[in-house]
Amino acid sequence: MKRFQIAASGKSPIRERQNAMRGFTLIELLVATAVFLVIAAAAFSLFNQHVTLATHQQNLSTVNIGLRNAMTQLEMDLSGAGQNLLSGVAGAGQPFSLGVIINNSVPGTAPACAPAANWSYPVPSACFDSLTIINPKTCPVLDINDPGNSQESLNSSSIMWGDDPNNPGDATTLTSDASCFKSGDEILVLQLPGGGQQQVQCDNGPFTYCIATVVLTKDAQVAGNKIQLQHNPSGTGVGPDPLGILSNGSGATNYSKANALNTDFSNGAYIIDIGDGTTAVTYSVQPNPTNPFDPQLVRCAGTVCTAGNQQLLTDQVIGFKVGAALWDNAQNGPTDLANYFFDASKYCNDAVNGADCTQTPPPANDPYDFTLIRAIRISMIGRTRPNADPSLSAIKNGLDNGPYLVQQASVVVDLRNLSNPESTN
Amino acid sequence: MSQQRISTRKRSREDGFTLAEVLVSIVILTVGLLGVAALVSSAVLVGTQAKYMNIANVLASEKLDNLNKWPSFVDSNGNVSSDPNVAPGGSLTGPANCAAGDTYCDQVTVSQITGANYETQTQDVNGVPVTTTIVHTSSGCVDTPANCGVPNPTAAGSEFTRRWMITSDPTIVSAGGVAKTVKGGRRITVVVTLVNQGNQRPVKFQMSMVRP
Repeated sequence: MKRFQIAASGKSPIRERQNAMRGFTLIELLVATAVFLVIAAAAFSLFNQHVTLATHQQNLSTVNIGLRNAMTQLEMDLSGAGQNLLSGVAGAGQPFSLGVIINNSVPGTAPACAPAANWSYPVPSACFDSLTIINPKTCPVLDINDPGNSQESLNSSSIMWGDDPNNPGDATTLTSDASCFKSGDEILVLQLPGGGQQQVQCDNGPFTYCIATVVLTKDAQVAGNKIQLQHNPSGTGVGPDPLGILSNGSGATNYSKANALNTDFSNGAYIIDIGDGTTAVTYSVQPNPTNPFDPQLVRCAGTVCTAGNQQLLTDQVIGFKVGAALWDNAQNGPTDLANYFFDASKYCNDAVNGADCTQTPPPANDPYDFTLIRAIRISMIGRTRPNADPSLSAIKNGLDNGPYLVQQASVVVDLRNLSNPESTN
Repeated sequence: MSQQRISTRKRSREDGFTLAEVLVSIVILTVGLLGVAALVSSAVLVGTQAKYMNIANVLASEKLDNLNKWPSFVDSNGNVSSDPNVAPGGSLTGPANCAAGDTYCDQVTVSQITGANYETQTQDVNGVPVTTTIVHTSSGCVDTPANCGVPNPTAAGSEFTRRWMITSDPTIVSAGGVAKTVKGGRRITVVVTLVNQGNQRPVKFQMSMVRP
């Protein structure tokens, strides 16, 4: 506007040209800068919001991917667990399986689950359960056949006599069978009720079955048309159950019908080679060796996780709980799978109807009965790295007030569990 | 005079922008910025939808496995009897939230802040629908909110409705278009829907399985 005024003033063309070619005035520059700043600020704010959201989503996606990978691995391992251990055995009748051992860290009993300084989580603690999948050795199942007695006493005799139920007394079969039973293998001795009975008498009362475990101290041998299996009757040394099949995390014997070493197992009881534990797989949460503030879910070869046998599934796991839906051998109704039990000491025959496994008299007082497990529910909580996202340092999540985002995922896996006549698949 | 005209033309060429030019450029800039804003907003919506779809996927597969644990029996005469929890029935559509006592529907609330799941299930227990809510807390408790000492789920969470339908003797059509009836089998279809989606994109995830 001002320039037009100058042009109209009739001054010389040279002066006019000079005026026309001059730069912006300070006001013009300030106004232009202000307008630009407003627009740039709006654009930057938009972009900044997007970056924050994108970072959150990317971090959560990473947590999700980790959890899902772990769940997929768990599903693959668990869905094959719990196969019928008596498959193909002549006259075995009802199926029997023992595929998964769960160690529950029960709140109130285990060390408290609460974040410590720098948002580390204590391991072990009530935050984390562990589970072991027994992949039994594929040896033939034998049955007890003592040439001199009708019963085998595991705690007084070091020799257990076995035979092949499908081909009794056949030398070639026995030699082949015996070659599978090696020193160090854990042996499951199983007595099922016979003659149409529902229960069998164990050391501490009648149960739906009796089991005991022993460890072979020598490779099996064929002697006198029988297979000779040698073990330590006192259970000293490696103990009768190094795989922890019948004992909980504290090492105590779990339930009355097992480890029923005092029971005399009758001829016809089954001898099952579970192996020496090298084929088992254990899922557990362990601290990251290089970062103590990072609890990691690991998959370990064997029954115990060590630095050398573990494989990382996902890190920053702050919750890993394993529950089980149980068959009800008491068969009081069709509702036996309604609930998941997150405490293995509650696994007993009539648990689903509220029986107290430690109080109810036999046959219900058999807690830790892992043969009842039908389906497993795993509930996991993952988190983003603490303080990884600066925009979150001011925001505390509502789960534990930590500076990170959390994500929960749960999965249900049905075992290939044939231990109960109710089962069809 | 001629000199004056030339000078004016030259001057007008060397002038600043006209009001019209400025207005046009502002409009173009605004359209561009609006486009970018729409893109960002759309990216956020799609990202959020993907997040919820992922949760819905996990919830659907969990439900299928959870239903798979209930036994069904086929006797030697081919008669099928089964637990009432896997009896044919249910519907994939219905009100936003589960109707009371509907044993083919349950609600899951995922807390937006804590990430914790509150899972409410209605199951047939001795012929009576029984509803239970389970939560996994930071203290390692997996139980009802009352037993874990935490509040019940609130509207602050993302609420999903899971419905399922069970049909017996399902017909399966193979890739070649051949239809086959699976005698004694049953198809379970689960649909997970985000209830309180607000302005977000709809989230609906469906998954099926066929089992004995």
